[in-house]
Amino acid sequence: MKIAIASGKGGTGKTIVSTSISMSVNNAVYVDMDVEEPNGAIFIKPEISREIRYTVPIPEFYEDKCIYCRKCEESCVYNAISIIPQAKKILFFEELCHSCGVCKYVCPVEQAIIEKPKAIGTIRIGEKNGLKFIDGILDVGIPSSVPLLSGMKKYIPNDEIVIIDSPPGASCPVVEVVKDSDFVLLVTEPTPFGLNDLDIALDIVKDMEKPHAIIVNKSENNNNLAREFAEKRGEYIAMEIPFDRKIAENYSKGIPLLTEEYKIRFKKLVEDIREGKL
Amino acid sequence: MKIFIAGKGKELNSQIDDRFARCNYFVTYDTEKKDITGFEENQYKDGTGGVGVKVANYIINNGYSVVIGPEPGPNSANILKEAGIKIYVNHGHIQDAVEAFLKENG
Repeated sequence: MKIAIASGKGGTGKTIVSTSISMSVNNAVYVDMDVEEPNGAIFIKPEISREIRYTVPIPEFYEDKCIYCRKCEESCVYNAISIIPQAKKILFFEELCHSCGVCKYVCPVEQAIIEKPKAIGTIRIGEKNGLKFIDGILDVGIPSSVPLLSGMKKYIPNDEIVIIDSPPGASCPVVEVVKDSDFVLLVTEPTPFGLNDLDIALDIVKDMEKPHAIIVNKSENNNNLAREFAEKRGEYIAMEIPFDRKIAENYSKGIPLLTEEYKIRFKKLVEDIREGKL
Repeated sequence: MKIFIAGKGKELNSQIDDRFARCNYFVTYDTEKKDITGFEENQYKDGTGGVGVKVANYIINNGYSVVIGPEPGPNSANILKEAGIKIYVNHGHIQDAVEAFLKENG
C-alpha cells in the first residue's frame, strides 16, 4: 500500500510526518519524491548502497546531414527547435524539450538527429535499521521534476507499507506522485495560507478519487481555523500535532517525532488506513 | 522589403505591443508600397511555452528582413540573430517607429 504525504502549501510538515511514520512502523519503505529539495535523508540518516544517475533522451542535431525540411520543427509541440534554412543552422532549446522523440521519428534523413542521454538527477537507494530508503535529487537548473519522479517509480518496491514524501504545491509533480498512491495524507497548518493551499490540493485529490485524510500540524487549542475548514468541507482530521517549541528544536537537529506516544499514534494511523477505516 | 511589426493593433496609428512574441498582431509593412500590406492575428499568443521560438520561426519562414517591436525574449533574439534579421526596438506608434527606421536606413 502506498501512502502519499502531500500538502498544498510548503513547510507544513510533510517531511516530519512522513519520516516519523516510516520510522514508527515496521518494515516500511520511505520514498522522498520532493526531488527539488529532498530532506528526508537528514532525518532518516540512511546508509546509501546505490546511486543511479537518471537520464532522459534528448536530440542532437547534425547540420551536415540535415536537409532543412523543417519537419521536426513543425512537429515539435513544445517549440524546442528552430531550423534556419537561410543560414543552414539548427537551434535547439533544451529547456523546452520534453524528450518525446517525435523529432527523430519524423526526420526523413538518417543520422541527422541522434538521441543522446541527458542526466537530470540522481536516485539513491539505501537502508536504515530495516527501513528501506529511496530519494531523488533533481539536478540544479532542470525545469521539470516530472520525468525524474516517473523514473523513480521503477525503483519503489511493492512492499506492504510505502510512505511517499510528496512535493509541495498542486501542480504536475504532485499529480505524478498522487496518481499511483492508494491513500493521501494532507498535512496542513491552521493558517489562512495553509488552508487556502489545502483547499486546492483537496480538489486534486478528490478529482483523482483518492481516499484521504488531513493532518493538522502546528495545531493550537484556541485556533479553530483548520477544524472549521474541515467541517465545512466535510473532511476528516486524522491527527493534530501541537505547535510545540520542543518539536521544532528537535526538528532543527534532524530528529523527527519519535517519542513512544507518537510512535503509537502513527502506528494506529497506518493501521486505520490499511483497514480502510479512514 | 517586408518589415515584421509586433503590433498591439493593426493600423499605422496603433501602438507597438508591450510583449514581443505574445503581441496581438503580426503586422507587415512594405517599404516599397510605403504602407501596411497585411496583418495576421497572433494565434500563438496564448501558447503555454516556446512562444518566442514559434514566432521567431514564423518570421524567418515568411520572408521578413527586419523586425520592429519591443525587446524580444532571449530565444527569439537568438533565432533572429542567427537568421541575420535585424531587430529595431521601439515602444511607440507603428507609424513613428517605421518612420524612424526608414530615416535611419535611407
